[in-house]
Amino acid sequence: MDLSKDLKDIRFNADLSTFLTVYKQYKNFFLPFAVIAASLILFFIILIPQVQGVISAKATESEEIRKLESLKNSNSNLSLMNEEELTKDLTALNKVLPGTKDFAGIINSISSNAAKSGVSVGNFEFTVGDLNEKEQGVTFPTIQITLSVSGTDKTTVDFVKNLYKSAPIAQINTLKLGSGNTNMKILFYYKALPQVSLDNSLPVVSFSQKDKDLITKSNMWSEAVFEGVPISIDLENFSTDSARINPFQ
Amino acid sequence: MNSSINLVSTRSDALEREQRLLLILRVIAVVLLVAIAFFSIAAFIITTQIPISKIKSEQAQTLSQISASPKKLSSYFLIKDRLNNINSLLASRMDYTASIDSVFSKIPENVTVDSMSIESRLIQIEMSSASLRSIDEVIHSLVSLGSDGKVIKSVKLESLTLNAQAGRYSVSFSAEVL
Repeated sequence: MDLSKDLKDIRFNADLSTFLTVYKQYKNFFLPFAVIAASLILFFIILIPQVQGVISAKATESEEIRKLESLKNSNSNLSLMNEEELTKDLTALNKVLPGTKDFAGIINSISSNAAKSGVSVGNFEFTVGDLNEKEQGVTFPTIQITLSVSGTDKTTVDFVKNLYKSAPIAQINTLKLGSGNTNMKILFYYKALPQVSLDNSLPVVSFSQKDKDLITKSNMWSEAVFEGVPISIDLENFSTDSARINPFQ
Repeated sequence: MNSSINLVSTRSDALEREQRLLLILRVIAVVLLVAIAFFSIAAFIITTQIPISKIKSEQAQTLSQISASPKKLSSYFLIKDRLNNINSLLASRMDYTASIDSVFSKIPENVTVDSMSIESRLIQIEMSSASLRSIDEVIHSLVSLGSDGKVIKSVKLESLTLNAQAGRYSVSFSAEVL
């Protein structure tokens, strides 16, 4: 006879009978406990993710509403803008800061400002570098022009002042004034236009007062330059090889 | 007969406690189940009621309206680009006109500017006059201009000479532009 097997059976029977006794005694409690346990499982498995989903959906809704408002504002601002005015302003701004090496604009600026100030333009020489090479790592590329003008101190200073208030944007690099002749190196700035990807989702905001002032200034600066004004040459003081009437007129 | 045996009261109390506990448990179970069901349904309804697809379609409609004016849009972005660049360029551009104006405004009529050079923020100017008083006036004016520090950082008197043959005094200055 296997004694250990019998002992196991006895223990099993004893456990089962205990369980049955306990079950019989507390069977009414099992259903509420099961419901509470199931409810807790449902709470963690279903309700918490659902609440998180609601919070996330609300956040998405707020974000999408914000995007919609931004788009509506852009649309409204764009509809208020006049296409002709935009084109005119862009033309003026492109004259002030050209997208390419604007030799015609530079010659026009020099000739126009020389005529207005009453100075005569002598030799001038462009330093432009490689025409095909794109400037790498330069924020604002320039064309340098070495220029000789003749006139009184006042007219020369007026020429410089006018140059600073006309298109394209210029900066005097060096200036040597003496006995009626002035040699100067002037930098004319340009900057390539960006690739416009027409991303409609980018916000279109109305121009700020600062922007409007700059547009007005740019319009004035571009209007200050008359196209086709012949360069006034002082033949007595200069033996001009390169100076001649405006070739772009 | 054993009189210490209690056949009524103890069992009845235990039963009552058990019944009360059972009732509480049942109430908790029902409340929990109903609450979870209610909140689950509410969350589901709220999720379905959020009009994201309606907002998206409105966005698409507005985008198509914006796309209807591509020229305006491209002009706008190009203008913005030019404005930003011009603004930063003007802010960094070396402008000597104010300095030259200031210097020239301090020069009396009988003083002649013989030469002037501008390079790397430095203005060098040479003047001459037959009158020493005028030269003195220029020196004082330019020194005060340098002391003000508004358009010119510093003014340095380089030389003061007399050309006895021509009877003219010459003075040269260097001024550092702000």
